[in-house]
Amino acid sequence: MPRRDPGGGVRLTLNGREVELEAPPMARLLDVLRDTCGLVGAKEGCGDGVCGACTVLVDGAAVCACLVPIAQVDGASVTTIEALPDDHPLPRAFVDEAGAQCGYCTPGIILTALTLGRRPSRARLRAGLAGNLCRCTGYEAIYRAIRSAR
Amino acid sequence: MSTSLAALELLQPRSLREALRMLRDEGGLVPLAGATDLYRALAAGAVPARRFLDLWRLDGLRRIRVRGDRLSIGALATYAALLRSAAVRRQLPMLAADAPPTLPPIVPRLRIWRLPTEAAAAASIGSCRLTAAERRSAA
Repeated sequence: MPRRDPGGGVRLTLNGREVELEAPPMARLLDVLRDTCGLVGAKEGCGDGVCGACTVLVDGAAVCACLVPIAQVDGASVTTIEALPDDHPLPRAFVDEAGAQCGYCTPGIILTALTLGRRPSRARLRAGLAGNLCRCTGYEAIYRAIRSAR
Repeated sequence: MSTSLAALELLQPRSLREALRMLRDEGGLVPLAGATDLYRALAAGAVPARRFLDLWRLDGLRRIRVRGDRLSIGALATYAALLRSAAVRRQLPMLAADAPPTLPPIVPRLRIWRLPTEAAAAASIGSCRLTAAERRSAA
């Protein structure tokens, strides 16, 4: 019987590497990433699934890591902002277009943008980023950055 | 005071049959689909339960089907899936009303009644219903 007691292990592919993590099954994915794995790119914002600062990709889908029990990603592939190489075009475009100011939301926005395809339309961008809040930029620079990324 | 997540137990059935057996045989299990409401309530220290039944991998509960004139929506069917479903748009258009032309991919698992139309997400129907039922039973 697949029973998970407090303190059980979880196997997943994390940024391309298979890992086994010891964590309580109901621990939030966000906490495990930050506190256990040292991957602090995903941020705690609202802790409520609204702001998107904690966005990561689970099996290619953007999710709020603050609302995902770690046990539910057992066997899944999890991608955080740390998986992107330094020369990835999206972060580069955010620098070039001043798409980040305080930067708190930027990792989540970049990961969500990865799911929108190349050069998404403005309508697709607006709808696609509706779950990622930015209180600095007013979004225009973010849209420019994503659309200009090559 | 928030509830310690480390103290919570999670049972993960591999089939609906196993889930039903666990619900019957194990005392005090609370079904869990996504976790939006649960984490919010745990943060508020408002959940007395300590043992949960994870439904998330029971793919049979995600189905949206039409049989005759009856539309069947699985408890794990997501809001995004509803919006994309031709059957829902045809037979229950109010659920898909005002859907944006393109859906955001983010999956915040918000309660369905809190979703702005721009922020369609993968909140599961069952999660909302189960949570509401739990609250009613606790009241």
